[in-house]
Amino acid sequence: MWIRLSSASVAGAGPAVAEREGAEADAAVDAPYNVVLWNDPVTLMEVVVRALKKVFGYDSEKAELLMLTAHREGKAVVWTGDRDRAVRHCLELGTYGLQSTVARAT
Amino acid sequence: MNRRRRVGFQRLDDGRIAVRLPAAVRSFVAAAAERLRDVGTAPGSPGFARLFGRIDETADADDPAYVLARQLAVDEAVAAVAASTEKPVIDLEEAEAWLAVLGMTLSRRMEELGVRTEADRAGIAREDEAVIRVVYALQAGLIDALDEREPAPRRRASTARTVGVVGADGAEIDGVTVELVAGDIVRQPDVDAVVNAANAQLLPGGGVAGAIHRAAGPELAEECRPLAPISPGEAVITGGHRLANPYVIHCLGPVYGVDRPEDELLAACYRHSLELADRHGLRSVAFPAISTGAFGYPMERAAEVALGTVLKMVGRLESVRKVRFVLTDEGALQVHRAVLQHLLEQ
Repeated sequence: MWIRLSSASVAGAGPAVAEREGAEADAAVDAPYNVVLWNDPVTLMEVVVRALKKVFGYDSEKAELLMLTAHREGKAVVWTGDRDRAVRHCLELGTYGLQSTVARAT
Repeated sequence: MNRRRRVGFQRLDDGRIAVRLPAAVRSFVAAAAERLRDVGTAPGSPGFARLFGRIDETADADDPAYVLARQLAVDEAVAAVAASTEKPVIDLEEAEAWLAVLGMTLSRRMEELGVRTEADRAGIAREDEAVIRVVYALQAGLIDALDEREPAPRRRASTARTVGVVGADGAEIDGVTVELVAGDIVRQPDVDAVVNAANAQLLPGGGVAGAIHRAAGPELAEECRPLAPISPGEAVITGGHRLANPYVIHCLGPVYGVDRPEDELLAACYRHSLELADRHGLRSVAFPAISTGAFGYPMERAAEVALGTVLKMVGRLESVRKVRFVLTDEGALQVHRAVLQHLLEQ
């Protein structure tokens, strides 16, 4: 993937980030944040699926399910974990043209 | 989120992606990349607002490390696209960058147009809708090509038979493999380009030209029309359309006894075709025995010129690594085999 953000290049990201980037299992237990993907009326479904697969390492089935959730419900929580990584994932989604935000998980 | 249709990208045997797009579309992509240069750093711009603005509400928007990360991500995609819009074959990282630039371009345009809901989307002006369609077609084509599995090891067309000259696959000279096979020129799926023994008008016609046009579909004749007529010894390149090959190189061989000097014109066909292939970054080319059909060139004489020219060219080729001669029958194959052996012994 062409986006190669080093952990040091993102605000506050410490060495822990470098271990296994993008893996769901890394979600921090305390103070979790959600990456919320918003539906938009122009982006191709395939582009959304591809972005989710590349940014989070999801398989096609999971990526398609999340895409369809955003499509039908207007938004979807696509990842939960620590705040720094959540912000970086939003940025990566942005470079595919997708809109996403970070929100404290409730 | 919308559905799509495919366009102009094809995954090659070596894993890269052949790009078959009109010059105007390539320019469109290059210009799109150029316009994104400031999108990661200009917080007031429509692109920034849509792509990063809402993230920044929750992030430390002005944190220098975050600003840098944002800009690096954009810069890398823009630079990769700027460097590859003229290339006939792009690598997978470049394809990802194209996808990103197209995605950001679409997003920024929608912000400029104030499109936020399905209702806004429905009200888009026709000229903007046309641009969106172009972006969709490119994105869909790129994703199809990127998602295609890594190709299986090179396989030989079932109708083709290799004759051992030096090794089992032919001769290797200066890192370039020259292969002789008996088979069908339109069934060589593992080469980047097949050469069409064309007529001056680049029309379907008979022989090799007829077979290639039949296999490639009417779009090939369509693409050829503005390139015609060509003169003996000249070569032009087009897409492969419905052929398995991304490219077709068309050259006009001399009519024996009419277009003189025959040898020079025939040599020019092979030389110009290989130069074109090399300039387009192609790795492999398959030739028929040009001029030996209706144009009456004696097979042995033609083989001497063809193979002699190719052997002279191999040291100068930068990207072409395989040249295959696809002969229509056993007799022609035997003649080429003998000529190649003779030339290699000299």
